[in-house]
Amino acid sequence: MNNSERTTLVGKDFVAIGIYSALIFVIFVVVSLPFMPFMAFTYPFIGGVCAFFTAPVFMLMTYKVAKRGTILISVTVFVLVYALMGYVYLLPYGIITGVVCEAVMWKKGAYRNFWHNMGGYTVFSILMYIGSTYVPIYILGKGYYMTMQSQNTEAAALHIQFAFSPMWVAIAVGTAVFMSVAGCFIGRRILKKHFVKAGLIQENEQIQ
Amino acid sequence: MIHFDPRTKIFVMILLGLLIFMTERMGTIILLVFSAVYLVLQGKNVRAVKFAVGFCLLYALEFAIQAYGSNLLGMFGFIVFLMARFIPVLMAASVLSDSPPAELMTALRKMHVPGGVIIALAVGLRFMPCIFQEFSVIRDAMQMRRISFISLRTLVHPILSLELLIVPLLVRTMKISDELSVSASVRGIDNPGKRTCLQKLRFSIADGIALGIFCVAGVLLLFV
Repeated sequence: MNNSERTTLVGKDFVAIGIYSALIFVIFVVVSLPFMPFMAFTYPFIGGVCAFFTAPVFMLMTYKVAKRGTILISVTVFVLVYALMGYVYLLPYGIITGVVCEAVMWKKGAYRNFWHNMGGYTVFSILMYIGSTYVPIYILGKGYYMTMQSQNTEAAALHIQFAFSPMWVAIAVGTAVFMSVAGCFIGRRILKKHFVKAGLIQENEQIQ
Repeated sequence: MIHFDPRTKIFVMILLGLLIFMTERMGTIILLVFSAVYLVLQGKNVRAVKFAVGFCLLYALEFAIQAYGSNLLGMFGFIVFLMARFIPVLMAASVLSDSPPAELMTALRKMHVPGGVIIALAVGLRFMPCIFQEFSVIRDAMQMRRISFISLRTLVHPILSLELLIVPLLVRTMKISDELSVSASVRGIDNPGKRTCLQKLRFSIADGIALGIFCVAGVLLLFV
């Protein structure tokens, strides 16, 4: 008896989404740790690199829970964990991101289609990873940021330059897009090579 | 020892999080004192002292970098500054994570957060320590097969090394997730009825006073 035709999110889907989102969050934090001391230089690139490493988990999640609302719940959990760590102002931004990604993946068979998934993931990574590092600066505004770092104006100036100059923003977004796409391809290769062969992903969830 | 309602703790944490980014140096120190008192009131004396000491160390480190470091070190000093600012929020977060998960979830449900998000959040938070355990196990298994991360092979074949690490982690995660979701199904997670909690959540006078004090402190810090 195959229940894979139900299209609303059920309890067991929420459990799966929670677990995969937690894994995405941990990978995100662990990957951005080495960048922390050099944050002044690597600000635009943190998002891209994290997007690359998180891609396989995201692909697995969307294949396993292929229902509308997956990304929205996942982003909400992600943002809530951030809020528990103190970055509460990401909450509304995260929910908007989730809604935008859902709009991207709204089509009926979208979650099982690889290219659609890749598009959704690219949007997700741009908004989430770039957003979680850049939006604080936008919200706080240049003025607040400058008064906050009354001494360390050098580093703050670099941050502001990264956030507000169109060229650097374009570089950051471009890096994120490139890394997301690369990550999705590698994620698909990993999934095909190991998971399908080991029979962990069944026939009716076959990866295209 | 006062026991605060989880909703109060959440509100305090949000308030601290907002205030942290809007105050000057003196404001940060005042917020730290408030948070320390907040922790001590709930009986977490040792933790309050630890956090306060950490804050002082970070502050001293940043001051040293300011006074004696070069420009390059100044960037590092910026990070130290940010970390020091975060300590009051971390204190509030640690107090929040002390409440039993059932209480937290009931508080969230009372605040009308959708049920699915609460399930996902609870499971995710519980799963995070497991990830690190799984990672240790994977690292041990790799050592047993004499594969190591810190070798020339990591530089030559970075994707292969990534694969060696990620695939076992993903497979373990998938197995855990499958088992957990089936177990949750069996335990009636889909029951549409109303859920009850063992502890009764009630706003008490202590909550009101704490909220009041923090609000007053916030207003003062913003406008004085």
